[in-house]
Amino acid sequence: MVFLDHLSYAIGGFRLNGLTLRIEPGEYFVLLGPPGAGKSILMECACGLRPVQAGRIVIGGVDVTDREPRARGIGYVPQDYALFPHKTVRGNIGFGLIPRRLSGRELARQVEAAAEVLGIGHLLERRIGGLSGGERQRVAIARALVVQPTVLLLDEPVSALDESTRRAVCGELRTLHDRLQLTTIHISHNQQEAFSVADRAGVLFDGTLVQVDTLGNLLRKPCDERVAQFMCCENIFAGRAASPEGSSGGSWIESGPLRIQIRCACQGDVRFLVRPENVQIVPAETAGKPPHAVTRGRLRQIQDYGAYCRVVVDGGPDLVAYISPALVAQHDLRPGSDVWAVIHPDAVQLLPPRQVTGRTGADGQAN
Amino acid sequence: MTAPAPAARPVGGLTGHLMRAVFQLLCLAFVGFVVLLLVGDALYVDGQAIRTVWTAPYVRNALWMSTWTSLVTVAISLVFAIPVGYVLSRHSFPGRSWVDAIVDLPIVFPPLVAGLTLLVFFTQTGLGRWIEDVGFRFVFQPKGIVLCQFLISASYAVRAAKVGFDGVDRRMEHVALTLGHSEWSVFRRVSLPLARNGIIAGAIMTWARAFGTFGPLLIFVGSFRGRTEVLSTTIFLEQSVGRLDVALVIALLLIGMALLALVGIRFLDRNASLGP
Repeated sequence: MVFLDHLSYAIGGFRLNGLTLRIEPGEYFVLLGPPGAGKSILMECACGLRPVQAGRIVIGGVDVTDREPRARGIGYVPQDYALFPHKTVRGNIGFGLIPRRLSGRELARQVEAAAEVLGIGHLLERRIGGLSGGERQRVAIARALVVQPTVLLLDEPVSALDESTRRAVCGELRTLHDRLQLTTIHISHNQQEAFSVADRAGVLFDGTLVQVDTLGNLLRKPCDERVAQFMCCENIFAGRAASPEGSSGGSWIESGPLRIQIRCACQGDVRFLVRPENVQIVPAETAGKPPHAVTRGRLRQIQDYGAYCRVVVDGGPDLVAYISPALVAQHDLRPGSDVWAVIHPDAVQLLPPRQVTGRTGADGQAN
Repeated sequence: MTAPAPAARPVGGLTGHLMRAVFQLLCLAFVGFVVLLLVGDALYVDGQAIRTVWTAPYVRNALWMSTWTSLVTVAISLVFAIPVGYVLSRHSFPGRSWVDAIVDLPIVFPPLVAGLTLLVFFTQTGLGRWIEDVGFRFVFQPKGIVLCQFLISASYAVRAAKVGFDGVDRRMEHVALTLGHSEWSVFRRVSLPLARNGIIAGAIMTWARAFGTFGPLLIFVGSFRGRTEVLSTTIFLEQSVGRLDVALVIALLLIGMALLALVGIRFLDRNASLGP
C-alpha cells in the first residue's frame, strides 16, 4: 500500500498542494496529467529524491517520510530509463544487489532470474548502447525489480517508444503486473496508455490531484471541465437550463440552436458535456426527425481512424461524434451530407461551475 | 548509358557564397599563420643544435625536473579538482557563484603576477614565513615549482571535472540511490566513472599547462641550473646567451608535448561523442 498524506512541496513557482492519495496493495495505478502538472516531482518526492515540506509518505505500512531513498523499498524507473552506459545489461540489473554483498554465484542467479522474468536473458552481456528502446525499458524494469521493491514506480515508461511498440509494451507491463501482483504507479500524460494498463487513475493539474477514479468514471463522469478535456471529450458547451412547468422531472438545455433534454431538474446557466461516442448520427434523407434529435446540420468533416470515424456536424456549435465506418459506408456519408444529431438524455452530463483548483478527499477520492 | 549527375546546386545565393568564402579565407589565414611560425622554427634549427640538446646534461636535468614536477602537480590538482568540480556541479550553497569565479581566477592571472603573489606570501606575510620556518620551504626550491604550476594550472582540472560531472545524467544517480546505494557509493560507481573522460581531459590540460609554466617560476623559484631549472626556463636561459637554435629545439619539444596533449583530449572527446 502507498499512502501520500497531505503532501506539500514547492519549488520556484510550482507547488504540490497538500496532496493525498491512497494506492491499494497490488494495484496498478496511473497518474495522469499534462506535461508540467508535477507528476515527476510527486514521484521524486515519494522516492525521497526531493524532501517534502509537509505531509507523510507511507509505503507498505511504514512511514518512510524521513528515510533515505535507498531505505524506502521503491523500484524506480525514470523517464528514458537512465541506464548506466558504462555497464553491461548484467551490470545494470545487478547494480542494486551490490550493497547486499551477495556471493558472486547468488548475485548472478538473481540477475538471471530477473532477466528471465523480463525476457532479456539473451542480452545480459550486451552493452547498453546497442539496445533498442523496448530492450532498454525491459532492462530498466529488471534493474528495479531485482531489489524486490514494495512498489514499482514507472515514470513515463513508454513515452520514448513508437506507437505500435508502446501498445505492445503496455500489454506486457500489465501482464507482468498481473504475474507479480506488485503495487505499481505509472506516470503518463497519455490517457490511452492508462486504459491499457490501469486499475485506477488520478488526474493531476498544477500540483493538485483533481480526480481519482476508475478509467471508466474518469471518462464518463469527469469531475470538472479540465478532466473532461484531458480525457478527450470534445463536446463541452455552455447553455441555459429550464424545467417546463408541470414536468415531473427532467429539464431542457438550450445552447445556441441545440435543444437538449436532460434527466435531472435544474435551472439557469450550466456547462455540460456529451461524449462523442454518445452522439448518434442519422441521415436526414432516410427518416423524419428521430426522438431526442438535438439539431439538424451538415457534416463538415469525416476522419476515418479505422475502428471508428470522427465526424463533425455543423449544427450551430460544432458537434463531434464517433460513428462506425459501416454507417458511413452504408449511407454514403460525406462532407455536406444532411444529418440529424441525436443525444439521449442519459448521455448529457452537467459540469460543476469552473474553478481554479480541484479538491481531493483524504481517501484519495475526489470530492 | 546513364546521364551524368547534375552538379550539386549551391544554396544560400550570392551573399551566402560570399560569406562562406570570407569565413574560409580567414580560417585558412589563421591556420596558415600558426603553421608558418612552426615551419619557421623548424627550419631555423640544425643537426648540431639537436645533438646539443640530446647530449647536454642540463637539458636532461631540466626535462626530468619538468616531468616530475608537472606530474606531481597533476596528481595534487586532481585531489582538489574532483571534489571541487563535483561540489560546483551538484551542490548549491550561498556564495556558490563567487566560489565558481574564484576557482577560475588563476586562469586569467597574468603569470608574473602569480609568481609575485607567491613570493610576497612566503616572504612578507607571517603565515608564509611561518610555513617556510617550520620546514616547508618553497621559495627558490623545487617544491616551489610544483606550487607555481599548481596555482597556474589546477583551475583547468577543476573546470574540466565540473564539466564532466555536469554531463552525468542526474537521474542515473537518483536511480542508484533508490537501488540501495549510499551517496558515496553512487559517486564512486556512477558519477566518477561517467565523468572520467572530462577528468582525464582536465588532467591532460593541467599537465600541458604545468609543463610549460615559465613566468611565475622565474620570480618565485628562479632558474638555478641543476636545481630549479625546467625546460621553459632553459629556453629563456639559452636565448639570453645567444643560443637561439638550441632554445628553438627545446621550444619545439614543448610544442610537441602540447600537441600530444591536444591529440589526447581530442581522442577522449571523440570517444565520448561516439558513446559507450
